[in-house]
Parts: sequence; C-alpha cells; structure tokens
Amino acid sequence: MTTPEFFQRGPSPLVRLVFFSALSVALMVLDARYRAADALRSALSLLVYPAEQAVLAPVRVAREAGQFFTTQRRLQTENDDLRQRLVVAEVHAQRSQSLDQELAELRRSAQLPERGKGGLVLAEVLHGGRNPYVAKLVLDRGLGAGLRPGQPVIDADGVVGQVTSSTPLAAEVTLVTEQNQQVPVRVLRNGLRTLAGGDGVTGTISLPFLPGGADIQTGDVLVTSGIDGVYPEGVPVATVSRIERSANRVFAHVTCTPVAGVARDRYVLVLTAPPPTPVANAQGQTAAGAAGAPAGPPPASGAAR
Amino acid sequence: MMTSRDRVLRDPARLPLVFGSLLAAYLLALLPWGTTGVQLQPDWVLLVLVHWWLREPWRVGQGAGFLAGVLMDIAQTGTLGAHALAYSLAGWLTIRLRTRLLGFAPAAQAPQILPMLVLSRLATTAGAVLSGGSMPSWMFFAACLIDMIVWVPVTLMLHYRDLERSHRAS
Repeated sequence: MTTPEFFQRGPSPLVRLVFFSALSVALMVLDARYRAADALRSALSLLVYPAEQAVLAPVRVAREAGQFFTTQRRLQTENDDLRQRLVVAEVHAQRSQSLDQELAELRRSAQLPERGKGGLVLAEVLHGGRNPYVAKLVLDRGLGAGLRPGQPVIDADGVVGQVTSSTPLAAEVTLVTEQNQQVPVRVLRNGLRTLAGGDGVTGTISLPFLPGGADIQTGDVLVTSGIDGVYPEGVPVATVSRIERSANRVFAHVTCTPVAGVARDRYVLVLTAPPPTPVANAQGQTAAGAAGAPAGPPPASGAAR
Repeated sequence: MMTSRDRVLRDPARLPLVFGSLLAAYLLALLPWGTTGVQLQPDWVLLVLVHWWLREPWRVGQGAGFLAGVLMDIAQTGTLGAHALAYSLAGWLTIRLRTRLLGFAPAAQAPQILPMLVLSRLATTAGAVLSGGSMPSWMFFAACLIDMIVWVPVTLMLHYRDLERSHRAS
C-alpha cells in the first residue's frame, strides 16, 4: 500500500481480458458440453446456500404472515372443498388398488414383467428460479432426498417437468413448457402417438410432428405414452387448444395448454424410482425369455434400469 | 462534487465497504424476483463492480469480476462461465475508459456505461443460448435502461459511504 499505485501494474487489461475470457469460455464448454463442472457447481452452491436461505427467510415469513390473515370463511370453504375431493380420491384409490392387484395378476399370468411402484418425494417449490433464459422451479429437496437429474416431476393435475440438475440441498426442475423439453404423448381419445415440445416464452406446448390430416380435435387430452422410459405412462400433459391446418404445410400447427399448474404450484411430486421398462423392450425381453432362457433375469433388464 | 470525489480517490477504499457492497448486491440478486421481475431486475452486482472498477481498479479488477461472475452463474443456475465472461468483458471496457469516465458526474456517466451493460447482457445471452437456453424477452434487454437509472443512486450511495469513512479517518 506504501508503493504508489501506478508502479503496481502487472499484466495489461487486455492481457487480463484474454486470460479471463479464455477461462470463462473453457468453463462454459466444460459445463455445457461435458457436464464436467458439476462437482464445482455442487461445492459452490453449498457455499451460496446460507446466503440463499438468509434471503429467502424474510420472503417465507411474509408469505406465512399473509396466510395468517386469511379469513375464516375462506379456510372453511377450502376445507369443505378438500374434504369433498378427499372422498372422491379415496374411492378412486380403493378402485385403483383392486385394479392394480388384478393387473399384476394378469401380467404375471401373461409373463409380462411387473410394473415397478414408483418412489415419490414431495417437495416444496422455493422459487421460480432466477434464470431469465430458462423457466425453472427450484425445489427444497436435492441429492439428499434422492432427487437426480432426469426424474419426472408431476403435480395433482399432470406433468410439470423434469429435474435437470440437483445439488445436495436443492434441485432444479425445467418446465415442460420450455424449449428443448420433449415428451412422448398419446391422444387419450384414439391412442395416436406423437411428440410434444415446449414453446418457451409463451408457456404453451405444441405438437410439431403431426401430419395435416391427423385425427386430432380441440379439447383432446394428451397423456404421456411412456415409451421414453422417463415419464410413467398415462399422466396428463396438456389439452389441445388450437389447431391450424393449411394446404401448403405438411404438418398441422397444434397448440396445447399444459394441464398442470406449471408455474403456479406450491408443492410438486418427484418420481424417484425408475419408470417401468418401455413396452416394446418388455415384449422383447419376454420373447427372449420364452425363446430359451427361462432361468435368470433377461440380459436387457440390467441395461434398462 | 469533483472535490469530494478527488478526496475519496486519494485514499484507498476500505475493504469492508468493498466486500459489503458486493455481498449486498449479490443478496439482492438472490431474492426471488418472479418471472417478470427476473427479466427486469437491474444487474446489481455489475453496477457495484463498475463503481469499484472506476474507483480502484488495482484492487477490484477483472479477476474480481470473473469471480463474481462465477458466483452469479451459481445463483442463476445457468451455464458456469457465462456471467464470468460478461463481467470480464465489462471490466476490461470500464477500466479502459476509466480516466475518461471519472471526469463526469454520475448522471452523465450513466449513458456512458450503457455499452458495458449491453455488452454484459449480450455475453450472458450468448452463453445461455449456445448451451441450450431460449432467447429472453425484449424486457431483458430493456432492463439495461433500468440499470442506467439505478446506477446514479448506487454510485452516489457508495461514494458517500466512502466519503464518510475517509472523513472519520482523517
């Protein structure tokens, strides 16, 4: 500090710029292309965690204080509503239990592999993410609770998205409405299979690969087809809200609205168990099993898990 | 204005103030801003960095910008290195134009730091889009103007905190 500043020069700003830019670009390539910076990200995010909690604490207090002042009447109506829904849900649960048993028996008799029962983790949505480029949700559970990248996230109504990265104490969910997020779907009405992709900023989902003459109507419900091995089969994804067909385009322009409260949820469910093996694969396994290897697990099952 | 600025520039900046202001800016960036807020929020950390780059580039240089950028990438859960690149670029430009910028009052500096703000946002966008993000809405770039407006109170506040302490010390 005793030496005047203009003697402590060091490398010139341009040299520093080149050095730090090269370092940044290397970091970006390592992180985005090779996923090699995950350890660094985990370590640094643990470092940032206390600051994050310190900032979120007052926000939580404000949220809870707001809830404290809800009216008695509102609570009452909400309670009644929940009770009614609980009765309906319990009836459904009873029916589905007996159906599950029946299905398991049928599958056993047909020598199909049993469906795995998924582990579920309930997680609270901490905030809507701070990234202006990709709409995400940040959950309060992470690696510690068994959340891993690739796991599907659903809410009471349907698919919300997919866990795309998780640190020890938090996980990030990329919404199903984001660009680059694709879900294989099936039209509930007629079983037509296609691929649904998010539109990004608009918060809608479109079906980019549907031929102009495809049998699809406004109001059709799309559910997951389960052939990707990521999402379990039969979870609602979206309803068709607009169809534009034109003679000079091969594909129909189909816009859908997500059924889940994609950006409004407070609690979501993460399916931590791997989904059942895709149907085509399972049939291949049984065929191989029937062909001549009755003892021991089929070789494909290890790769599928 | 100029006299108090000269007096501040003669003494080295107090490190607690430097770290405290950067930490405060970082905490502001950590707040949950909501979907529209995240597009419109000013880049607090960059504004505080620009202040210190102008004030004392030999202590808070491009290296500090790089480190702050990595921490911002962690906060935004974006590609590691995008903000680091952006802040290195902004730091270089600010330090290059430093002697010229110091001759102006904060309000007159505001439009002149606009290139740094735009450059930084373009660099983070390029980093995000190249690694699979989608283009942000126009609001994200319009937020440069909000940055420009927020610059005046930020730099004045830091300046007067600085001045207060150097008075007490002398």
